[in-house]
Amino acid sequence: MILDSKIPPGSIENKWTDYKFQMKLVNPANKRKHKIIVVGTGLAGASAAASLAELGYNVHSFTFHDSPRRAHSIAAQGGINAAKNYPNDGDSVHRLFYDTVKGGDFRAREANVHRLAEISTQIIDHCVAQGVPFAREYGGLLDNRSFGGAQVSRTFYARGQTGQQLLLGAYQSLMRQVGLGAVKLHTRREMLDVVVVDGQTRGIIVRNLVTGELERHEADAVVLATGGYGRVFYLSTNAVGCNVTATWRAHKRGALFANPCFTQIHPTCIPVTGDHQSKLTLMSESLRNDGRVWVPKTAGDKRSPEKIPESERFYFLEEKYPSFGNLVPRDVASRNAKQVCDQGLGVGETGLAVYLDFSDAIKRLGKDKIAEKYGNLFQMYDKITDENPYQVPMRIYPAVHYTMGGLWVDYNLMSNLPGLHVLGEANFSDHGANRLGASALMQGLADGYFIIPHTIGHYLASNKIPKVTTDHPAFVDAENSVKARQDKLLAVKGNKPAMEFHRQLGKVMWDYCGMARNEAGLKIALDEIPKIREAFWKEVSVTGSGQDLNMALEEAGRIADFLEFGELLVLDAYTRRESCGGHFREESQVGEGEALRDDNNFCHVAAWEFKGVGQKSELHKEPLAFDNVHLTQRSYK
Amino acid sequence: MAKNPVTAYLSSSIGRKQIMGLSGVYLYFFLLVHLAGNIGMLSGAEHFNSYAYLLLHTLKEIIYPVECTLVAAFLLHVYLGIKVTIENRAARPERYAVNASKAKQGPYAKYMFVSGMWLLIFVLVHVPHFRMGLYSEIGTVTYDGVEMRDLYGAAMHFFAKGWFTAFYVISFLFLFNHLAHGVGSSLQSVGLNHPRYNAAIQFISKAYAVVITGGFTAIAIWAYFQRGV
Amino acid sequence: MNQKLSFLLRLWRQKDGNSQGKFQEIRMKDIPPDMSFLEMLDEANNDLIRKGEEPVAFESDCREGICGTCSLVVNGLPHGSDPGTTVCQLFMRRFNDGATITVEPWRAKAFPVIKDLVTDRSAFDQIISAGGFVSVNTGGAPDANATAIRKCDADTAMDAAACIGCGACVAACPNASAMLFVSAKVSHLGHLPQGQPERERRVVRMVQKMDELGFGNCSNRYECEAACPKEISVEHIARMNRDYGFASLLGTERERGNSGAG
Repeated sequence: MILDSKIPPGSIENKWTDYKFQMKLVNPANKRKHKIIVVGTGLAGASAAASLAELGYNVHSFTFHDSPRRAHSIAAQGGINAAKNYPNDGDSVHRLFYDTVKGGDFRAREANVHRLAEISTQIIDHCVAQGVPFAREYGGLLDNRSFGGAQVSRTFYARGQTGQQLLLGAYQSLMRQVGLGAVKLHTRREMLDVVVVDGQTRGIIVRNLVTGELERHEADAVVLATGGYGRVFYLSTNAVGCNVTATWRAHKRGALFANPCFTQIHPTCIPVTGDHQSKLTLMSESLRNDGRVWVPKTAGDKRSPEKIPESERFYFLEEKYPSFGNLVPRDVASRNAKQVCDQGLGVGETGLAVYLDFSDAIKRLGKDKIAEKYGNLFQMYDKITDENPYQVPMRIYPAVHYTMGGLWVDYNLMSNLPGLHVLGEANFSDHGANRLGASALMQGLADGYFIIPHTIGHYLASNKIPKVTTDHPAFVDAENSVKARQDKLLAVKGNKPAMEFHRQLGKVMWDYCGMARNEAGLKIALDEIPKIREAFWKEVSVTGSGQDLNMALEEAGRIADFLEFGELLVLDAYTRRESCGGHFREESQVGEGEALRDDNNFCHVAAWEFKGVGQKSELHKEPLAFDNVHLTQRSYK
Repeated sequence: MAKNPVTAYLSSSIGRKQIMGLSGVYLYFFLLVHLAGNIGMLSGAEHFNSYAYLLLHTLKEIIYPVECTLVAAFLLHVYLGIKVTIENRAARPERYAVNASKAKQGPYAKYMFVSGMWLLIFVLVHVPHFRMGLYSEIGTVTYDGVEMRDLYGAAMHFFAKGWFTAFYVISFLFLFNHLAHGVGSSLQSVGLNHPRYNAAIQFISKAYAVVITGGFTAIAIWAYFQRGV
Repeated sequence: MNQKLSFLLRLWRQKDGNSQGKFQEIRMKDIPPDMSFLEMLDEANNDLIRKGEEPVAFESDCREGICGTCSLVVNGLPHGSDPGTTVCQLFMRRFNDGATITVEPWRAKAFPVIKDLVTDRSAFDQIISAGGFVSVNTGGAPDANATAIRKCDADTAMDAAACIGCGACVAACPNASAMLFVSAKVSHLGHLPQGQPERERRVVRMVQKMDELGFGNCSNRYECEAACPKEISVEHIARMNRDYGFASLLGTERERGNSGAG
């Protein structure tokens, strides 16, 4: 299979502008005749559905939540990047582009990233016009703060709830279109299959989660914006409902899955306390603006933090990376935290934590200023740990947060299945092997507000899309296969809750495919996952029926998909024998644990084709070219 | 759909609440005037009866229309109170098995309907009795050749009965409850809430309730102890 | 902190919206104090599944207090007794060992029960759909710094915008009124210059929709504010009352326009 990224010709600065002119348009009067399905209502999905409806398309929006506003984009805390250069500190579109390509460890497409950087400024303009209450200075203009991997302040924020405010902006635009009758909203519907008719993606099968009914929906094009797969690790900062099901089912229908091993481990999360935990809680990266990360210099130092004098503290990020200090990119910060803990320097009961200390900042700025900047985060930390971070340093440890991998898409954000478009975290496109902080919101909204409205029109205008009805055999087949899988789950009648298998899978994934990976461990994981999957299908207990609200059935279905997908993730990690970004292969390092990329062999996107459960997937490579950013080993020293 | 905005306002939850609040405020002001008049009882029969004669005879062209607006405000207030309460009950068809409260508000808000219903009964007793002389004949007295109703005598006669005074005092307690929540609440309903003044509003609201109900209660009890004098 | 706790749970079970519900009692033992309330319910459900019984349906998602999905009334209080907390952020260390804990769904006519502890809160979406937005299409927005906004206005707007749409205000209100939710959106957009062009129309339409959906009337009891996990102030309700009065009685919005869609 040849992977055509469809990157337009021309200089990097002009590609998107020129391409917008090259693309075909749909006549305004004809737009209403095109039905578009958008699955997911997070930043990407809601912004896409709203923008497409504004243009006049007949949009059907689906979410498995009770309301579009629940999508997990809402939990993003820190901010959104934009190359506005309001602080006059030397930012530009090119610098944002450069930082993102470098931050992604040279595993993203230059053209996509440049487009993202260009659009970033429009996003801020649009969100302000929607009434998003970004933080402001006394003069009434917008405030910025710094984030990891950048030496400029380009992050816009709304307290520690930026994702919430941006999502509500998109949600409100979506609900406006619902009120106008331009979007038909389908809540509590879980997408369980895509339907491909004569090579074109023409619909989806969803389960009505209240009645259990399976529904067929046909359309001229389908947009998936269903988020990431971090929950394959069981414990992550993702919402407990986040899942891979929609993208995995599309993958099983032929869509390629790209770079699944690129998962982001976020450095500042509240450490694990016990087996009972259902999720981990993130403490925004913005905390690293003022918090200093340290551990005691001596292993086994059990003194309480305030009793450890300055001279016996190891500020490992500041010492190793003097120019970026505590604001190194996430992968670097996480790996260093792991290293010091592996050396026995970790703190807290489990020894798997490092301090994030605000005492200097409180001394310098005062408690009130710190409370104004991070109040809600401090409060959240206090609630969860029962410790007051104004008095004692926070304890933090890395946790799975974001997944850079996803369905393969071309420059138009269309997968290799014609008509199937993939946006936001669900696609693989812009972040390479590591995502910089405050870039996820930017990408989701760029995809939804400013890219898909153009490219989907081009697809619709340049392809013949014959009429189909949901009686078509492809729809019948898809519904039957969904029904069969659901019946199979209900028929196992074992005695173990599905969650147990999820925990087992998560442990294997974290132990062997977490912050650091090696060949031997990955082999074990490749061995273990099919065993867990087999046990699942023999022993799982799914109570109730398929005819009503059955959360046990929903959960088991999602876990069954994770048990298939996890194997692909590990296979990708096994195949990529280099360290890059969030993927650290122990066989490939220099000096004291610095990642070593192998550009000769792995400067490509690994896109996997499904060949059957338990069958080895087939690898297709899309080579990456770097004409504008020089391929170098990353350094933040 | 195309409803006149004013009609829509009158049937909306907020509109009705504001009308209820404003009619309540009107009635509260009436109470202040009523109390001021009643204090006149302390200066004796002639003074009080002459005051009543002045209001209801000499100034009747002014007072009767005012009374009509009071009756209207009262009926509207009662009607909306009952209607809104019925709707509120219907908004939660299945009650909670366990009830608890987190609000820092005093207990008064909780008893608005009960106190309102009691006050309705009170008004149905009080107004026909003293204003209209329905339950018993009110005698007459003559000062300087002018014949007038002996309201003072009637009041003294009735407050001499312990159960009658008790009914009044209990009613004033309900009135206190109604005012203690109502004054501040009506301001919130019309949108007067500002952190800078909220403490003052709360204080004035409670103080007003204390003055009004304290005044009426004091007069009733004073009248009770005048028996046999 | 290592001492384990035990509880008697009384969980509301209701097959669907048309059925009668009742409480099911479940004993929980060996609960670590730093377990969250929902993790304890997960454990209770896993025990039920092992016994082949249907688990209790309850909703949650982000489990960090921001998505607004979780919605349990714990011992008569929406989201439990902690101030400014969603039930997903409630930890078992906040309960006494041996306590009886009664868990009920949000109860309101406008939030019908779907199953057990799950209710339908789509009424909130309908209210937003009626006017809780700024009508701007994608593209064509002026530069973000073109309009200066007073910091205090942006901050107050943010206070109101912090609403997570969980519905605890309705659940806590003795009248099941949605005033705090609606006023939070009216006040958020009303404080910003971007919200001014539609300010009258927004408040009129949102209140009208709220009234249609069977929520009760506000009686200024302020249970909503006390239950709100984001501690949104009833000042916003006063502001909405004011805006609504002015918009309805003195508003200059053309009457025909008041009823047109969108």
